[in-house]
Amino acid sequence: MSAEVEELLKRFQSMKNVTGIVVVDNDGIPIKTTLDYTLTLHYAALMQTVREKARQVVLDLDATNEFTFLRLRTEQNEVMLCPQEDYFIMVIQSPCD
Amino acid sequence: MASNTVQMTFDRLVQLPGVTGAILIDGNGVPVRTNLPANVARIYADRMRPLVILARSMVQDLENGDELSYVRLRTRRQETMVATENEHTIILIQDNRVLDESWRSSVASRRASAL
Repeated sequence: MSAEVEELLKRFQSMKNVTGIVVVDNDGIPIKTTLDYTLTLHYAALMQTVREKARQVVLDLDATNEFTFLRLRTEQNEVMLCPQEDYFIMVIQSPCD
Repeated sequence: MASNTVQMTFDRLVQLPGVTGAILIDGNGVPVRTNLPANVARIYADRMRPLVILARSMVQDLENGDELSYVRLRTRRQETMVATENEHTIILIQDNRVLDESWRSSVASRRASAL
């Protein structure tokens, strides 16, 4: 990962409401995390599946389109997923309505 | 037939800026109301369903008692929001540029009022 991305992650980290950041490579292995290890593995495995499914859905609907971002809002949390070439970034925050 | 509350919510959502398509789906996965052609609505409903099911089971797996409110799937050109409440589902398709613009202007006005 470039220094640019590192800087970006630091900025995300310092934002209010952000409770966790996880970076996962394409094999589902966490590269970087701010959560504890067990929870990280759990998130990584589940989001890997969701990412693939989302990519499929987008390609099914329009083959020229491209999946760029996913947001899952639940009652207690908000999980955001941003796919990149070799990895994807996940940010978990508590919703502030 | 969908309840009045859901119908009213649907009517309100269609007015949002940048909405290029909206679909109201009942509990059986059948599009009830839409402003898209019927076959396009059907395709969207069928394709989004497994993603929402997967997301819902994932959320329940991570935290017991938590529940999925909505999924926002952003692509290069448009953003699709899928909101599920009870047994009804609303799918909203919005244009990226309009969405970003309205978000930017709301942030700007919030900042202006904070000064």
